[in-house]
Amino acid sequence: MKVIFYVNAFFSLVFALGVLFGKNPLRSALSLLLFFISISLYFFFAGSDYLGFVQIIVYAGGIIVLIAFVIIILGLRRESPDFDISLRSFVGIILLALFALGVLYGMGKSILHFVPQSPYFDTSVAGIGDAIFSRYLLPFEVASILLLVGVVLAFIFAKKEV
Amino acid sequence: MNTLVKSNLASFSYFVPELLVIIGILALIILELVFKKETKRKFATLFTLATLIIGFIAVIGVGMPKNHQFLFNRMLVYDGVAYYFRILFFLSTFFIVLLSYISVEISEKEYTETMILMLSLLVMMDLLASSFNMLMLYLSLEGVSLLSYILTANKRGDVRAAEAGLKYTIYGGVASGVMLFGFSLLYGLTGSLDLTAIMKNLSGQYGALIFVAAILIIVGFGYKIAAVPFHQWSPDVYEGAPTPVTAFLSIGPKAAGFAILARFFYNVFSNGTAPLKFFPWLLIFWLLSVATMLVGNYAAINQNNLKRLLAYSSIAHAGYMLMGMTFVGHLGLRAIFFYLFAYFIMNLGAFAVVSFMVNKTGSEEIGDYLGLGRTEPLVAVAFTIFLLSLTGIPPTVGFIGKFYLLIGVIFKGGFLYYLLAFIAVFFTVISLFYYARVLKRMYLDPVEELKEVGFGMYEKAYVSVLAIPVIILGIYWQPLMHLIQKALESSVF
Amino acid sequence: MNPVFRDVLITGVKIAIVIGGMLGVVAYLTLMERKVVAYIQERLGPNRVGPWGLLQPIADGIKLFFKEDVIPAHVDKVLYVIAPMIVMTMAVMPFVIIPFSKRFYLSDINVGILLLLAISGINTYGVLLAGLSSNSKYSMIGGLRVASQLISYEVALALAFVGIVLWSGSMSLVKIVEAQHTIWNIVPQIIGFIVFFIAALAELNRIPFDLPEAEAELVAGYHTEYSSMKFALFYLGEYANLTAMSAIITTVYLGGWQGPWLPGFVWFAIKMFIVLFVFMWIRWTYPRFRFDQLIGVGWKLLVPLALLNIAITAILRIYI
Repeated sequence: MKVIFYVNAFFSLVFALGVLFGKNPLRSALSLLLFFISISLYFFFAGSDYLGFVQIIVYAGGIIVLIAFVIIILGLRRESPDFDISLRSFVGIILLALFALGVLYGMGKSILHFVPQSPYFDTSVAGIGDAIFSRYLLPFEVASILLLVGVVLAFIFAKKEV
Repeated sequence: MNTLVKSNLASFSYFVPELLVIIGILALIILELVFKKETKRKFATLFTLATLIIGFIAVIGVGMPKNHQFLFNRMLVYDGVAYYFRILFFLSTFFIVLLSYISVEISEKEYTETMILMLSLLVMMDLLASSFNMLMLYLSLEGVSLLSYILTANKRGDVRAAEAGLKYTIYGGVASGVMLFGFSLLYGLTGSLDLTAIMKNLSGQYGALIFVAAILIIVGFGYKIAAVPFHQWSPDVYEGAPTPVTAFLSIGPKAAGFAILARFFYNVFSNGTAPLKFFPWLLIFWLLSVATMLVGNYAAINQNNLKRLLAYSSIAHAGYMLMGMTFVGHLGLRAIFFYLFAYFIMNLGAFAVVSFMVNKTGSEEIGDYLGLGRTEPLVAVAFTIFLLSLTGIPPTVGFIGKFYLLIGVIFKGGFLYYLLAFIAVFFTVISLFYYARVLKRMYLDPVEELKEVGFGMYEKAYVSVLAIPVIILGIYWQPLMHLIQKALESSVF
Repeated sequence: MNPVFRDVLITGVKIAIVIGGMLGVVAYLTLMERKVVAYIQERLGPNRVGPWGLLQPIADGIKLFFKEDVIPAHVDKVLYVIAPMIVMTMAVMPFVIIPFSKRFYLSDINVGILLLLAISGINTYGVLLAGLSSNSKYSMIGGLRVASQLISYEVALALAFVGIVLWSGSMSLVKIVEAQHTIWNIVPQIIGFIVFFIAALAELNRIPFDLPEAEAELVAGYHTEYSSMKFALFYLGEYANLTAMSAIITTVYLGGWQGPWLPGFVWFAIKMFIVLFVFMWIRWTYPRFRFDQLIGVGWKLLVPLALLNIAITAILRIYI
């Protein structure tokens, strides 16, 4: 099981890098799709089938299709320009590398401790339903409002007269 | 019935003000369809104000709790600080609505929407200031952000507003993404979303990782309060948004940002009296504070657009307030909370004058304030009071606020703290320069021909209502301080 | 024998039976469709190859297999090759969890319905990629249409499933079939069934929802540029999807393998073929929707109906 976990982790990393360095936007979107699917595998490993499938349905089945739509409709077929290494991006890369080292150092110390299981709920469908309508009722409602607000925001940006 | 469900139901008695506002929002959405076009603005304003007044009565009615209460299964906490911020938010929304009413920048078409959005923002800020769970915290923070973006961009046919909204959204998206990464690290380390539980489960073993997580989280909060280096959005957004909205953004979400910054760091990275040892509280907030003061004040010097100037000054003020976060203790907190109230009055006043000037002359340039001291003596005097208070000159509330901040830092003792106090005083002196430029323009510069601006009673009453407390609280600030002290005693800090 | 080895062997045999059986059914569906359309149009249909044309699918298969496999020069090769594979694979996947009889199923996972939705989500990519990678305007418009159609109707499909889950109290297909012991879901879930059936027609890109491949406008839609076995894969994938959808409808609404006297497997087959026949019947009876009508039906009619169904089901669950 552990081996599969690490193999999957490796592939998630590869797909994530594929998103960044993909030669055309469509390939990047597909890498993102594969990345999401590999993320869903983590949920399966953690014994949470429900979340795993929801991850696939929502992200793979919905969001990436929409991203692909945008790519097609805008006709983004050309390759993105090569990276331009200016002083600014150089500093950025160094900072990012330092940050990554910090995270890795911290992770290295705790590499053998896997993420502790969430103490709150069982991840079955019934358990999640219970949690949503009892313990996490308020965040659930606020999240729904948040989605609504997001739709309004999208509307405002998409309106015709500037 | 399940105890969790019972807790949810029991929480509603502390949640009445927000519920009333939500009912008001829903009613307003429906009423917008009923209002006649000509009287829409008046009725929408009256209805919003009524909602706010009823809500405010409910806030006072719920009152300050003796002990902190956890609501909705520890998602929120209702304590003295939450009460204090509720008052602050309701008051600021009230004044902003009055400001919007006569603003020409918000047209009839989007007026009711703006009212609805402001009320929603009020609810979200209340939630944010009382969040006690990372999930709730993130959702309400994002709610505040998204509503701010909408308020900024919702100005039809204005390229500047659209640009500002887009910039705000993109910066905000990145900042909250980074913050979320920090949250996920914390959650991974502790397996909990509850702030107290996180604090208990944090062990020094993962010091480096906790440090990284804290930095990432500061990015998100720093963005909300416009601290350097996460401030780039703020001048453009302040300039592009309608002036009442700008005023709202500079007092409402900023105060909420400080509330949650304090709540989060006091509950997660300190045990109430001293910081946890793997998080160098002093170093980080010291750097943040000095950088913010430096950039804010330096950039403000050369601004000719008054809205941009106030944007940079608002960055500088965030820097002053961050001084109160450099150490753990009620001395720092009470100074921050006091300063937030002071800042609310004086900054709102300054923005109100700018907004009135935009209404009458359509200009935000300092140059156009020429001779205001002679044409509109009352407004000019009020503006002077606000600007002097922003500088921190006695006997204004701004002075008291800065005084408390400096006292806190100096009482703490130690070279870095003394240095910080010195830097703050130094920048205060610098800030006098750019505030005084406006005063000079109003009073001293030679005028060739006087142009009437023609402020009515409404404007004069508005600035007077704000200018008087600036002076009164500058002389007799004890009641406010007393309220804050009492609030802090019953809080989870 | 080693028990692990035995388990693997048994599962392998089961998989072989299911896939073999399904491919057989799919192959003969092409014949069935042609016969059905022939009788609807008062013709005889294929009757030259073997008795009643029974060898026709084999002849077609051999013909397609020996055609030249043309990959046009202007396509995005990797995606072009992958697309038909995705379609075919995802079409076969649902059979992993469909219970053919009381004891015969490959696996029973407790969130089976979600697996079905996930599969149909991934399925979209097959056609979308085919449309995009072909680099031709007909293919692209076909691909766009199919993707927008699929994601619109998936919402209705998922909401119809919610009604089922509420009524049966489980997401496992085996449990759902067992829960229909006294009464088939089609009776209490009649609104849900109608929504599901219409959405299924759209998901399968069949008339009256076959705009992605409307011959009159788009040549052949997203698979215009495909030839030989790749084309055959799309063709087979379409019929495999049809079979899978019929099997799902049978399982979820028509009581699956349950029925008197006859063995479960036979009941399952009978019900499935009835559903298949209805699909074909509709195809050759109705005209095509316009595209805006199609999206309108999905969002303005089916989704509200499905929500209504959920509300009714919830009320029924509380009071019955």
